[in-house]
Amino acid sequence: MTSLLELQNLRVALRNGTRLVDDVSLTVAPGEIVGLVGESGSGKSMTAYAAMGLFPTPDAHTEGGAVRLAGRDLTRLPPAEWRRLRGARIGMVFQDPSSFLDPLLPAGRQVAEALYAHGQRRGAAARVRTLLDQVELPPSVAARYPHELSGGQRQRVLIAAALAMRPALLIADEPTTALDVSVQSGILALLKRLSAEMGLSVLLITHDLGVIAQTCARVYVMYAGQIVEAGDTAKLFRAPRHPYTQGLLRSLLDPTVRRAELFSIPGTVPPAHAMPAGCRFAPRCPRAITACTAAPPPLRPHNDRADRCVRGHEAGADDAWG
Amino acid sequence: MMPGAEALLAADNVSRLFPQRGGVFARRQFLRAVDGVSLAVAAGETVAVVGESGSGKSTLGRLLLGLLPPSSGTILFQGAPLPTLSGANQQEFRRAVQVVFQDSGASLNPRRSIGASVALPLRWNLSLPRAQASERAAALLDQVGLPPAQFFARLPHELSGGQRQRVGIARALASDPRVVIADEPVSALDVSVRAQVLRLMRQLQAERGLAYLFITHDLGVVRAVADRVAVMHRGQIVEQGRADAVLDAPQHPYTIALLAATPRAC
Repeated sequence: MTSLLELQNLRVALRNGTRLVDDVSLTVAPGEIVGLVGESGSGKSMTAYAAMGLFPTPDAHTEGGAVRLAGRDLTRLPPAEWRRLRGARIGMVFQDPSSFLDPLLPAGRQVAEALYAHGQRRGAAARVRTLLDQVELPPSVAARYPHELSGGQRQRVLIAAALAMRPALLIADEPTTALDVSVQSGILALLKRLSAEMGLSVLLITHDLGVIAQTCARVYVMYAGQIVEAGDTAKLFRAPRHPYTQGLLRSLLDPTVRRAELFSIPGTVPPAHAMPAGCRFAPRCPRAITACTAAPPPLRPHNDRADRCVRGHEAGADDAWG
Repeated sequence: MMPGAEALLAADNVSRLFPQRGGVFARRQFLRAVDGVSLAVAAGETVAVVGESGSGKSTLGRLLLGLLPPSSGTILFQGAPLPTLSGANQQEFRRAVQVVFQDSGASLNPRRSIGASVALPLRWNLSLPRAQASERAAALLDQVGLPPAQFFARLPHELSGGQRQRVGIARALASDPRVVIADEPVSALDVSVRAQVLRLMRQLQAERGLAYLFITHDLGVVRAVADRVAVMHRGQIVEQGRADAVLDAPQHPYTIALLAATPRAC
């Protein structure tokens, strides 16, 4: 299948040379929900920003690699072109819905703004009604102000605005992190429904492995600016190959499992300006050998999966922390 | 509370109402943020209060800290109602009941070294002279896993989220409390750091015989730390009991729904 979004060997750096995202390749097929999971500082949000042509600081820039949307290379697109693309072909949703809504405008008007921004005035009112219906909000929400809505409703309004121009791709950066779990499951179910019914592609960025498991067919795991493991979500979570993924899954606090010991990965994430020469996880890895620190391991494909572990294949699915 | 154990800190049928904005002629409406809650924490145990936003769990925490007076009912410290505490006992309450918030970084003075921030409550609450307070602060930083040689002089922004949370814990421990009310202490932390901070809290509890009241939205955290749990929904406790028992076989429909909505990786 041809991919809708393709990041190829993407590198993002700051002007002082610090590399925040290194050699990230990922694809999202039409109608597919793909997860990008990592902890703070893993580079997952920077990867998303690169895919939106939108960096939060003028200091960050795409240093190398390519961003392609439906085969078109966006890497050197001028800002005006990016503006036309965002909202129209690429929709975006972020973590804190309140900070993306104008407190002085009713919700319906803010969904309409997404149409106005792309010159669509005619039929806007009817389209807003349809959009609110698609995100499972009653028509009365259109007249409400943000403070009259719950957190979950606000996020639905923003999803409606993101979908206004019928984008092919939705990039959602921690869309449910600020919400209660019962509200979260509703939003995730909505994203799945929209993807299935409208063929919407979704790149879901989150720190929460549980959210990924519930929503995404495929997942990419990031650590210290790189993808360390990728593959089918169910298979990857059942038998993770990279010691980092294994450790991350072990440190989850599952309310249904009685457990005496609390597991955590020893050590800390290396700072972006002082990455280890070989495998970036080697200093924290119980399975590290000399070869691990000698040279940076490539992301090696293996059947329908891939991992960046020197010993990933010899050790198979053995748990490094076992 | 465990049968027979004396309650260190307790809420007895406590309610707290907040006035809602209404029209000029409308009857004044009240929001029952906490509605008839009874809960006790005994020495050395961990009680979790779990609920979603708006459940009243944080308001309950503020009531137990004495930061907010109840509209009805009583908060008891070692069996004595808070308002009746004499000056000396009042001071003892302030020392013995401490708090750790979700984002300790936000409650640290950005221009003060973390060593000085930890030393401050020692000078105020325990009236220690400056040099002695600094010495104790260094020892506390060491206990929470921040070697003072490396960390004492650092400013809050130079620390990671997990390290700042350790400073928050050190600060709460400075006055040698008996109860620590921890309001979402690990919610802002990464998964891998979360377990480190929880383990530290458990270890400090074992060393000092601390009691914890853990306010959280996360049932995974409840399972990891709590002896007992109270599930709050719309201001009321809908279910409480031994944490393992409640999580293995929840009885109340709300607890069942909350457990079902918690995403799991496998």
